[in-house]
Amino acid sequence: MAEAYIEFKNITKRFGGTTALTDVSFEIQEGEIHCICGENGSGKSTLMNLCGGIILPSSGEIWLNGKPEHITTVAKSEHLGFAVVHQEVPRCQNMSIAHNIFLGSSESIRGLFLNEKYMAAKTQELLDTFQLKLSPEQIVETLSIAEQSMVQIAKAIYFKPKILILDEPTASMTNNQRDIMFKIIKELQHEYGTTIIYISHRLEEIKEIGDRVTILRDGQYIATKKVVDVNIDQLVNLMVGRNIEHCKEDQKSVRNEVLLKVENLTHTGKFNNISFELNKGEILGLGGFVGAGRTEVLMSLFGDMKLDEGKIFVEHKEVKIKSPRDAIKHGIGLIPENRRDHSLIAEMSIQQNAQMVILKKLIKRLFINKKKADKNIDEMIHKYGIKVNNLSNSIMSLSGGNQQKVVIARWISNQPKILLCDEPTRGIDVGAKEEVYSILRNIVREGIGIIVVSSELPELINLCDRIIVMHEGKITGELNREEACEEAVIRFASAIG
Amino acid sequence: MKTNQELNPIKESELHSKNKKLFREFGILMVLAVIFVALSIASPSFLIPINLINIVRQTVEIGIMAIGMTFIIIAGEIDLSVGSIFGATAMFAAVLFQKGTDPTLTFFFAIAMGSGIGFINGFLSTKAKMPSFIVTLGILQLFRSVAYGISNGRSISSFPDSATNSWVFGFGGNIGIIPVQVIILVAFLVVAHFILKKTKLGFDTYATGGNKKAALLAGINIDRVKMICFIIAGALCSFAGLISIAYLQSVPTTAGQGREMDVIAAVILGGAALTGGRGSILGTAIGALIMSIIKNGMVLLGVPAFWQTGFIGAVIILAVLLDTRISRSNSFK
Amino acid sequence: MKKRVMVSVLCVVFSAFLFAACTQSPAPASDTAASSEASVSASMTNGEEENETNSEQSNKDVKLALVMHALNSSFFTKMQSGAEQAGKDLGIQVDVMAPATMNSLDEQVSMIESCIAAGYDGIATVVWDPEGFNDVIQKAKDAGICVIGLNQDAPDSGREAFVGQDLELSAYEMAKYFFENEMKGEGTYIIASCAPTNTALILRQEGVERAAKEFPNIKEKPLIDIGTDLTTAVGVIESAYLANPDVTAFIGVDAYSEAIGTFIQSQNLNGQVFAAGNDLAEGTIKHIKNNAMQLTVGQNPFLQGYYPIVEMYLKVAYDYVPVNISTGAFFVTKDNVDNVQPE
Repeated sequence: MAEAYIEFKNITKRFGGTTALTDVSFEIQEGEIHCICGENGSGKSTLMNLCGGIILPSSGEIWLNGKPEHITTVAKSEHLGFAVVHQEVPRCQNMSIAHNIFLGSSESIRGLFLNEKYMAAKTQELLDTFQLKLSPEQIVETLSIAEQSMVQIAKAIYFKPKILILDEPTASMTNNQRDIMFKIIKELQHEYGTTIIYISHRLEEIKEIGDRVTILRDGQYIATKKVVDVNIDQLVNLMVGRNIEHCKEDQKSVRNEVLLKVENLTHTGKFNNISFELNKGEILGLGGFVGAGRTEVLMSLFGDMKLDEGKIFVEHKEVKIKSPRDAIKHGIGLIPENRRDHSLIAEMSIQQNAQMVILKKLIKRLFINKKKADKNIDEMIHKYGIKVNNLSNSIMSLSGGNQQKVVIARWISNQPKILLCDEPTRGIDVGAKEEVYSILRNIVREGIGIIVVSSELPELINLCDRIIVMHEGKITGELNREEACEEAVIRFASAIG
Repeated sequence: MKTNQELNPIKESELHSKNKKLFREFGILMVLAVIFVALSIASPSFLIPINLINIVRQTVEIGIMAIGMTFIIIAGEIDLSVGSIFGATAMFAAVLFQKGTDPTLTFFFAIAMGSGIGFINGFLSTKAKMPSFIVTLGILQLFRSVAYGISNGRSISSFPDSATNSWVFGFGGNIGIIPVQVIILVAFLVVAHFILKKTKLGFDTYATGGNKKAALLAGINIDRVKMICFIIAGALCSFAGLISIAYLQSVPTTAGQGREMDVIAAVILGGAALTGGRGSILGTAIGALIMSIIKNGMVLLGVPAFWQTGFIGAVIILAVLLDTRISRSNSFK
Repeated sequence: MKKRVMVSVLCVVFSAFLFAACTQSPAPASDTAASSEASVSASMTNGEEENETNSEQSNKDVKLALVMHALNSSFFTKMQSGAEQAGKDLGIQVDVMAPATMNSLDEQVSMIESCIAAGYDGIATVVWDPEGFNDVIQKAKDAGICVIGLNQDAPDSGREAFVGQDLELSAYEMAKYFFENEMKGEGTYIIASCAPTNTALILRQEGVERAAKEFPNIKEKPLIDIGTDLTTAVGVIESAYLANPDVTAFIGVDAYSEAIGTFIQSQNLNGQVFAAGNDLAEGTIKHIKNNAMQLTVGQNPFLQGYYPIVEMYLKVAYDYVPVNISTGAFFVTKDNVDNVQPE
């Protein structure tokens, strides 16, 4: 048995009233790819933040190489050899890719001046390794979420850290990019002996790349297993503590009435000539690679992106949607891709975030009626199974999955006719995912139509009645439930055959 | 399928209880208490009722303007023109009073002018997509000239009886021992507090300042919200100007000049964040009160003139430091 | 919960104070003034030998305030020194203060209110607004506090005396001398003012214009606003000169007239373009020595700070009735400039 390299000893972490980790102890060996998996709220991100020097444990110790270490700052963490790639990252949006990668590094300076040539060259190498069609001078703000993630990972890998921690790195990647990343990770492991901590709830990935896996549940340590010794169902069981049945029910909710019809939607440079129909009770998927224009189509349906051409018909009446207010008026709701920046208002409480859209309905005689509001939020919590300690806590105190449930609840409580979902289960765990799916399936039974954009093919295929696939701004194919399989979607998404 | 809720039941009563942690304004309230106690000990004249009433009265003008500023800062904007709105509308009203215009009409004209300037600020900051810092800076200069222009460079001090006997000039008087303007300030504070915390407008203001994009996507009309905040601020500035006329019975051309810094300081001291989404009327009131108390304290203690501004600056820094400490230990980060 | 408790506690505390106020007699600040007056009258009736010991007692009790409208230039701080020196010479406490912003009426009024509460026996202040100070001066007098105006005056404000320069008269005399002796009765002039809307400076302008009427061959060109920053001021004067290249003279009406001399010196126009100004800033004195300026008028700010303190002390200690004191218009030309101290 190899020497323990990193040891977590009785780690407990409290945030105000919430306990994120309780007495967690396990060890990671040098040079292994150690996966950590668990549902949302299980404490994975907290563990990672402890290693990254962002927070300190309330009690317990982290030992490195047989010595206890107090990782008090990010600098200290980097000094110890950690490189952390976070899930939702603050980046310098207004700087170029090259500058972001070399941010704070001594390599960026030669004498008194910035070493632009060197940075650009090295950045280009990295981008090529990841097969990203970007240039080093591009401003990070203009990149898609997926591309930003990859830049982050490239940055971490470039400096050849001793310990690389990746938190949900493949969240927005295509299969191709994921394979490249796995290759790079394996290279790091074999050639440089890097220890890799890989946090994910994509169990197939864990099976593919991990040596060992540690399971956390509700902030507690459950078990550590060799990846070869477990199968996916066993993993899920350990994670969730219960058996999950994958619901692939036969959807009989689709009605033969057209709810939404769009004709020739065009926004120069983003999408072209998009036409399709959405029926009542139908879940329509929009498939395609990152950059195909799917999010942009949704944005234009919601009034957040101008339409150069095209018509929108809701229930057979043409509507002009110039702003999100218009869209809401016509019964459309949107769950944006970027939860942190486009859905949540961090300074506001859970209750406030949840009731944002329906606030008008909770008003009696000019003032917000507390009784009505409280009753409403109680219903919401029960209906959607939102795990919360106190409703006046900031929304940021909830786990990703619960946050997303709040966002979903926010829209559904407004009784929309059409719900647009952009990556609805991004960054949430298996258990919560299933809950979201069942929520979506429930509401279509009442005749609501849903359009789902998703980069997770299994999700798309399981959930949708029909899938429209886009490639570089155009629709390349359509598949119904029987025809839908990963191969077919990918073929359309790459505009092959 | 069992939900999380059923597996981990949470006590219903705990769910809705207001945060048991210290409320946000606690830090600055403690600062106020400390200063108050310190001055009571250091100076025998501090606790004299007349002095305390003076302090509260001296807080009125800044306080009323700070109410409007609170809305604007919570909404994520800034208004540098408050001093000029104050001065220009006061000048305008003074000229009308002098000419013998019906005082009630003059009152409404003044408020209308203030609201109008606020409207311009709001319009340019939202529809014309200009940064409010620049817009209000320009308006500051513009309306300072207007004040000079209206008055032809002179103070306006003599008012006919038709004006001085009117209810508007009653703002400068007392009811018993309590100045009328203090009652007005308190009334505005209460109303503003309710608007911010209990109405949709207040909610939308916090949302707009907290995350503009998210608020927009949730269907909030952020342009309208900001516009309303600027108009409220403008109207309140002109109200403060009228109170000033009533109390001093004179409007110098420099009226209001430089006050914007005091107003903004009061709001920030009270815990508002310049980035928006945070702040409260209670906090602003405490902030304004702290500044008045310090100014008063320095006179009572005979602090040398040159130290006075420096002292205020030091207290502001210390107060914000203390407040950040307290709120950081409470927050989730 | 805690919040509600806190707020209610505060409300209770403040209400308690207000209730206390209602039951007390008004203006208790007069107590301190009353006590010093009591000791004064005691000393008056107890015969002369006891005067000295009793006046020593009341000496220590007397505290006076000087509330300026600004302290942002050496001219005003000279007044501060005058007041503080008077305090030292008399052995009494003198506090000098001013609002951070110049000419802020409500802040200055608030300061005076605080002084009343602080129990000062006398308050000297610059009454620069015709009626804005009326109420607060009345409040001070009701509390038995002596109020004396200095530097700028509002005759109807209720101040018991004024110490300073007769602004209109001194400007008239300055201009008359200047027109006659330097401009020799001919030419054009431009008035430079640092604050064209300031009442005091307007009075000086009027003095200059009154003198100009007596010289039919002297014409006025429009006034320029040079502001209170020396560099900007020089720039404004430069532009004015470019616009009026044949102007004969610049006349400054305030301490920033130094800028005129700076302009003339830097352009080597000494003796070609004439300049008259006000106050004895170091730069202005230098300009007169170099003939960049020909005339300046001192108003003795030190005395404007000193005398009010003396007058107030005399009133408090001996019930003396304060009188107006003119600190004069002191002409400085190259003939006497070497004997003059800058201020």
